[in-house]
Amino acid sequence: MALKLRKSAIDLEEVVVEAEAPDANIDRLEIGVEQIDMQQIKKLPAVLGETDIVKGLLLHPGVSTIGEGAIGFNVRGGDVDQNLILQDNGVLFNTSHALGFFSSFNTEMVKNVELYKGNIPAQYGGRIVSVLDVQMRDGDFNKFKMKGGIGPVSSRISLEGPLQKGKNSVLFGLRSSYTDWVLKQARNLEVQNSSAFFYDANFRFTQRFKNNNSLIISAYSSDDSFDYNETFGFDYNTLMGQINYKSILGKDISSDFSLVASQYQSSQFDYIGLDASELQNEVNLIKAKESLYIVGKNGEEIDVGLSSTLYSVKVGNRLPFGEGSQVIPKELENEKGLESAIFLNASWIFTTNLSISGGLRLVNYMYLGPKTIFQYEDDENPSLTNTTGTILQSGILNTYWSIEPRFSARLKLNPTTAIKMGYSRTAQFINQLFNSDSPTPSSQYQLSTPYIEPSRSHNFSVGVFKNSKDNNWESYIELYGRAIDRLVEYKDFAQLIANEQIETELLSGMGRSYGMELSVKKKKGVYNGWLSYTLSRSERQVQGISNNNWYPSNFDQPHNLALVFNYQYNKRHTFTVNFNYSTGRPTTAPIGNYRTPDGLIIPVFSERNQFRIPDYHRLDLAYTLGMGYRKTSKIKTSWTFSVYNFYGRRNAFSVYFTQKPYAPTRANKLSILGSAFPAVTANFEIQ
Amino acid sequence: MKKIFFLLFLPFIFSSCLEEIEFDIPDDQRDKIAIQGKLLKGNPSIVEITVTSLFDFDGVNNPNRQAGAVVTLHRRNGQQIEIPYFIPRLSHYLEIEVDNPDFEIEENKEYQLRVELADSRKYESDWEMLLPTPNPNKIEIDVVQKQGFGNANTVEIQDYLEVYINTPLKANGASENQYFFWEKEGVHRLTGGLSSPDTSKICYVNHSISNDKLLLANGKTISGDSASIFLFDTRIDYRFAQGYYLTLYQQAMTQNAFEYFEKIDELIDRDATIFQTPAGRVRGNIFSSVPSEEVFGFFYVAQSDTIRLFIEPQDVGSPALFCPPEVIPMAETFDNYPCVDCLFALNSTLIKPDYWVE
Repeated sequence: MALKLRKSAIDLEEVVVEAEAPDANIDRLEIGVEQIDMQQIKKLPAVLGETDIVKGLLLHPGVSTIGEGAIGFNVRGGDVDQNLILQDNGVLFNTSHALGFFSSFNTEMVKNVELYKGNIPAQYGGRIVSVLDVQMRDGDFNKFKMKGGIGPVSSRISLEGPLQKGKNSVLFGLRSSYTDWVLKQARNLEVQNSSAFFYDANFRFTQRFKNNNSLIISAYSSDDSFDYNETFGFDYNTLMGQINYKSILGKDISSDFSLVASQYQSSQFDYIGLDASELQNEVNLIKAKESLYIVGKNGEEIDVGLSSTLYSVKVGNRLPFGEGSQVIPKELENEKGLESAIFLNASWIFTTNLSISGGLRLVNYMYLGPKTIFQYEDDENPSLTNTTGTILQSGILNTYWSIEPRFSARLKLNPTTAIKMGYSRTAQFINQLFNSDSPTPSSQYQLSTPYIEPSRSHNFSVGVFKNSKDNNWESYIELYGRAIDRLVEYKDFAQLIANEQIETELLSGMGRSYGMELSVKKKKGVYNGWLSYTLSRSERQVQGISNNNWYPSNFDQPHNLALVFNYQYNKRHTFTVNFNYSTGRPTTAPIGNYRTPDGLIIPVFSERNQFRIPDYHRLDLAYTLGMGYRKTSKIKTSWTFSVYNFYGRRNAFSVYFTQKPYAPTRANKLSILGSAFPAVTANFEIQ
Repeated sequence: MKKIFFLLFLPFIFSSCLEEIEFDIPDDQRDKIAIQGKLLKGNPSIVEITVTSLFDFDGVNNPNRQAGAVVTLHRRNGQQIEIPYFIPRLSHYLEIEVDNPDFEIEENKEYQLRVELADSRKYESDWEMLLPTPNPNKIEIDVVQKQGFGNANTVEIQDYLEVYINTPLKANGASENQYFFWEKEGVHRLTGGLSSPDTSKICYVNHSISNDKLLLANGKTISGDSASIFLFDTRIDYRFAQGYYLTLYQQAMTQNAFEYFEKIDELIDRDATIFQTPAGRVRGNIFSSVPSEEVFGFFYVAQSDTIRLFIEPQDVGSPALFCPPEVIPMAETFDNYPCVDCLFALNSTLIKPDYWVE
């Protein structure tokens, strides 16, 4: 039989192809960038089965934490608040649920995660150490889908689909905890009488226009609340909205405009007694940013733009709670600051092998009134005893400028080997104040003021990148250094709560960190995974601390090792082993005692951070049974079985020294996790 | 601020733990000097000072008394008095009568401590102001139930005594609320040998309630002219079975002294919380004549006002005796000695305190 075919034109659905070249790590110009593999993150063993971006970050060189239950993460020995956390263009001030056990990112909603560890492009600013850029994904433009996951303490669900097929999409995601049943299993009645809850919700609407322009409207909300036996509790929440308009202005030029409003509120409650109180903190942000992306005739790429961010900070109100409280209300004046910047970043391909990127960010920061400013005899050393009075000022109270050059270079020695280097100058005008091992959800934010100057940092990196076996093996070794001026440090026993003269509790000093990062990764194959190792130091020098000598910062962990090993029998079955090791972090310990006439033994502590807690190590296991191969299935499921802290290591979070009457001082270690934590998580997808 | 947060969260509460570990601390601090003491205005006023070197953090060595130290107390008007070493108290100790014309103890006057060691090293304190102390109104108590671990390490509900002091927050003439510090003392009665009571033998046992928490209150953070301030709680046990006398010594102190003791309290009352303020080095108000020499301790002055409360057994639920009557005492066990003879109890005496009135 002979069939005659006739030509016919039909409209095909749009297909978006996104892929990364296998040697992208060699080609990429910037040094010190970690790109997170979202598929791998979902297979990692996680605490109680809750997939977590931040926990995934910790498996990369230069990223660490001070322990389970600590809020945030530390990059190259930096402080938690020195990381700029972006969700699209919006700034997040707290990325943790449940005091740091889980991150606030719903992995179901995330498209891409990049961490700039030191060499930060000029488009970014406002923090001195790193930028975590979390890009959220669009919903499906063609069909409706529902995805979800059910774990032991939380579940998540997402819905997506078009309102007009091919033209727009809506994506909605919700994640919520149900921990009370777990608390009820506690042996301790007080824990049984407690409650804990968190949720986060994402919304994203994307409209594509015929001229290839697009509009994105997104919103994010999260809330955590705790109540401990009606004794104390806290509540913290984030609310953020964004509008983003992307337009093609010409053949080689495009525009990206965004407007962001963000609010982070926290309350801490003491319910009982004369001092029953509520402590309130809040930071609000409104940010506008416009950037142009231009491609030159010779392949140059230019990012130029401006941004302006208005901060409004409630620095800590302490109010009586309940009728019996005799706490004197203390409401401090709000603070305002305006941070504006123009930036230019340009990349040139000089030769096939040599590319250079240079940039400049010019920042102006203004501390705004009206505000009551305390006056001191010595402005360099403000203290309660040399306070001379106050003055109410309006308008611009103080201005700081920051000129921040950025530079990167990449020299390809051959198609699989490159040498890269980078430098960036960064400044930070807002800090989170916490005088403890880990910030609390209610640790206040503090703007730069006439007495608290912005921190500034020089960041240097140089490294060699090498691929092999057809780019299946990636490796690099990087050396880095950082020097910080005007680092905010705390006096011993600093009183930070609702303190209108906060500058009298702070010290200004210098910081330095330096180290070597090594990464070896096998991307594909039945056996794959990676090894990360960091050798580093993070130190500080502050007048009035440790006899003015350099001392280790709280985040100084000289050795940090992570090993991730996957045995991927086929695309459906993956067995993952994850091992972590790090040097114990510094602590301050008692070195002697004296006794009062009444027999009270008073410990004398060492200079700051002169000792170390025991080293940390942990092994996790996971088995993932992936979704089935049949593409026609309406419902697909996957399962992850994991054991976190497999051998039940009681890692020390802190070392505490306790004394009892008539007994010598004893050292004790506090372990947050004291056993293995098995978990099962079920994921589903309906389409 | 209550000790926040840690106890939380979630399932981790089940397995989080605090366990003792070995911690290697060098013992190179033994040559450093600590001078700690107080002048309490009363009838009589007392001065008590210890001058020692530091001892190891794990208590392996004892405080090394600086023998031959000369301790003198000075007043701004030039009066001075030497404080002799008093062996029974293992400290420099002196009682000063109210009408002592050679050294007057008065409110709103400044005092200073000076110490000279046998090796000629010299130390002196800042001048400290003696502030008037408001007279407390009364001691208030409350019986509450709390969860605790029983003898078999099982969770059980236990009775606790909560102690409050009701007091004005400023003395007459003071312009604003003051900083407070309390010292406490508990004496309980113990009759004969408990397993075969000999009611003719009555002991009075001075019992330390707790030594790991200082009783402090910042009146400036409390609204109003007076308040009922929670001081401490203690387990209701055999100490309350035959009568208990609680004594509180109320002292108003300077801001400097209060801040020193507040820091000390943070050091000795440390909780296993991940959010607790890190420990630090506490600088006192005593300085060496050699500026580079670090010296520890604090000298403070205060007017001490005493208030007492007798707690009847029935006030606190008539708790059981130390040894239940049906238990046959085992004399070879030290803990059971008080069951045979109440004088075997630590700090026990047959001398009835002069304030003991029922």
